[in-house]
Amino acid sequence: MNPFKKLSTYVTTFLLGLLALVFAFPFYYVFVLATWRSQEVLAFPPHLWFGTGLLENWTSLFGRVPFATNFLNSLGIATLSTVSVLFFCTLAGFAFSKYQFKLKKTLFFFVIATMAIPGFLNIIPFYKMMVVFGWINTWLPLIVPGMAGAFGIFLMTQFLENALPFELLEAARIDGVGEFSMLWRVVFPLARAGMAVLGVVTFVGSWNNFTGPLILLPDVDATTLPVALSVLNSRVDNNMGALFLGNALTLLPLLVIFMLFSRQIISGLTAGAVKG
Amino acid sequence: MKRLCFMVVLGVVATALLTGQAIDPAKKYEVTVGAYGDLEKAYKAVIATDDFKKKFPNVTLKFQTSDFGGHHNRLTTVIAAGEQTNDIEALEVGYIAQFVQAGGLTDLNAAPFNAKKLSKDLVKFAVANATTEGGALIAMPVDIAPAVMFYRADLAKTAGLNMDNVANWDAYIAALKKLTDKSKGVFGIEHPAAVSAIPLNGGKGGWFQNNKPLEPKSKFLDALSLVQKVKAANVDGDLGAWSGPWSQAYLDGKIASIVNGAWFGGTLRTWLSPAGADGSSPWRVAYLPGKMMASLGGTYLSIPQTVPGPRKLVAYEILKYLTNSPVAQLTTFKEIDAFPALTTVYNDKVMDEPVAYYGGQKVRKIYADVALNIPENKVSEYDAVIGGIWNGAVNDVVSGKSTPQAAYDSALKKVIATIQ
Repeated sequence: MNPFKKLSTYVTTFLLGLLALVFAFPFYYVFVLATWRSQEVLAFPPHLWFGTGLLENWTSLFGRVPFATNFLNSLGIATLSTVSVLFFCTLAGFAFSKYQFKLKKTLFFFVIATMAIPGFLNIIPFYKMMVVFGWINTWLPLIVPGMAGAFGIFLMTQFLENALPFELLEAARIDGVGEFSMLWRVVFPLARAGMAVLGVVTFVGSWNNFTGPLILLPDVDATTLPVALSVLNSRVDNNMGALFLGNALTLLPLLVIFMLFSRQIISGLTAGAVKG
Repeated sequence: MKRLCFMVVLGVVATALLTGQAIDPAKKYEVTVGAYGDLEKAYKAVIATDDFKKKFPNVTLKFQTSDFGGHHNRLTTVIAAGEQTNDIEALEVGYIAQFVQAGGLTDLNAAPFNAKKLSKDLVKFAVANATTEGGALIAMPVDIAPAVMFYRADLAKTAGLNMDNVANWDAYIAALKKLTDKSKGVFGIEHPAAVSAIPLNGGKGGWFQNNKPLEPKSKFLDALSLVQKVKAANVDGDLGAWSGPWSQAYLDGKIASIVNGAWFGGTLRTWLSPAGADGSSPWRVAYLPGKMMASLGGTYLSIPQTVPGPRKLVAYEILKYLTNSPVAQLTTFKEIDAFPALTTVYNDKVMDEPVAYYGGQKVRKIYADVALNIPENKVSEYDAVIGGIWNGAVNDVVSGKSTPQAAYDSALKKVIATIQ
């Protein structure tokens, strides 16, 4: 290899490695702070290595917050949201990308247009509807209304437009595969990369959602982790250590999901980036 | 005839509800409370007292607590939707104006509550803040934050200063100069902006005079000039509140003084400067420079209008207890340093007791004296927005981007544009 090219590869690798460290540092730092006592969390210069306050923080966290219950609530809501969004948005994306029907463009435009409405504008009517449905303190308002979200439909429509050839669908039809079973046998397997991206975006969004559970799940045992942990954020009773431990534990599922699906996410994000 | 019978029955039921015992000893009640920050901790201590258990053996409290912003956003949303909230909802003083103007909270002065006779024992300025122009009391003050000066006695002694009766702000700045020793990393005060709200009585109201914003002008210019003087004196550590360097500076004993609400004593005690083995710390408390009287915080308890009638009556009994019972007020004070709004406890012997953390100083007497003399601030629905604009003006002065006059003019322009 040309020595200049080799040097350039080393420099690029080094710089990218450095950048990766910069991005990874906040995650590492949350875990470091989770092991320092509340009074030591905001120390300056900051602690860069693990401390000895983990047990104290653990006791404080589990003493103040029903962490296990809130964790299961978060996990249940995020998982069901993700599964339902993946199913319905892929279904809608399949229809918009591969079927011809009346008012298709108008309907698609209408779906996309809903993305332009800021979420906070409809929060009051949305809340009133949930009260009428009797869904307060249940998981339903955090799952059902977002099942066929505009972003997911748009993403899957664009993805399937390129990833799913008409010829394949025709071949399946000739083989006698029904329209709905085509979804299971042809569409889902080919849409895996796009679904991975949508799945991660949905899961993370649901996992981190604060305002929704705050308003819709008033009971402490019914609520999710972000809301439950906000109890620890006070000015007189310092619970910083417990708060950071809670944040670290909250981060874990997201890290696990990213590690498990990183390959699909990256291929989904780069799909269509290169022509041909 | 049927209609007449129905009206009679309805009247009897309503009368029974309004005049009868709110709490039936044979029944069990659960009152829900929406709270923020440390309030849940304090009220849980209150309900654990023998006094509460004796008075309300069949009442339990259930809390919905969140952080400061989250709590008020939730409450605003649910009230705006006209839906049922918790039976009792806490409000920080900065949000009280919004509800005074916009409604949504029950008038506690009206029947069957008739809170007027109870509120006479609460600090006047706080009651005035929660009273509409029509005389409706939409929330009851439960704790207040008389502003005082906290200072480190050891550093003051080294500098040869008596901080107990600082004559005025110029004298305070002169003292800060003596307290500052940059060779040792010691600063007189954390940040110039720390003094900005004091001349405005906390800045949680009082932004209008005769419907004109930022009037009287001299009051606002004085506040900005004070910030500029502190900055120019080079006595601050440029430490943003609640940051790492800020808390470390307190832990290391590098900040010599701070003007803040009484609640800050709790932050010092539990976090920034824990007591030594003998229970004492170097911190002491003094009146603000020039014995200025101001408030820096406070909490109110309200009963939203959407709470069903019978629940309102039970909620009111609990609200009444938390705001008007000496046991509840002193327990809250002990737990989270939230100073009582109930003036009758100011004569309690506990107020005259020396406090070990402050080296045996009788600090509660100072808090009580300030509390009784805090001037009233007229509140408006624009207070939160104007407060944000004003903070921008303060930052411009601190950074040297604007003179006090220019910052005031710019803020006034923005305020007028916002409210028109």
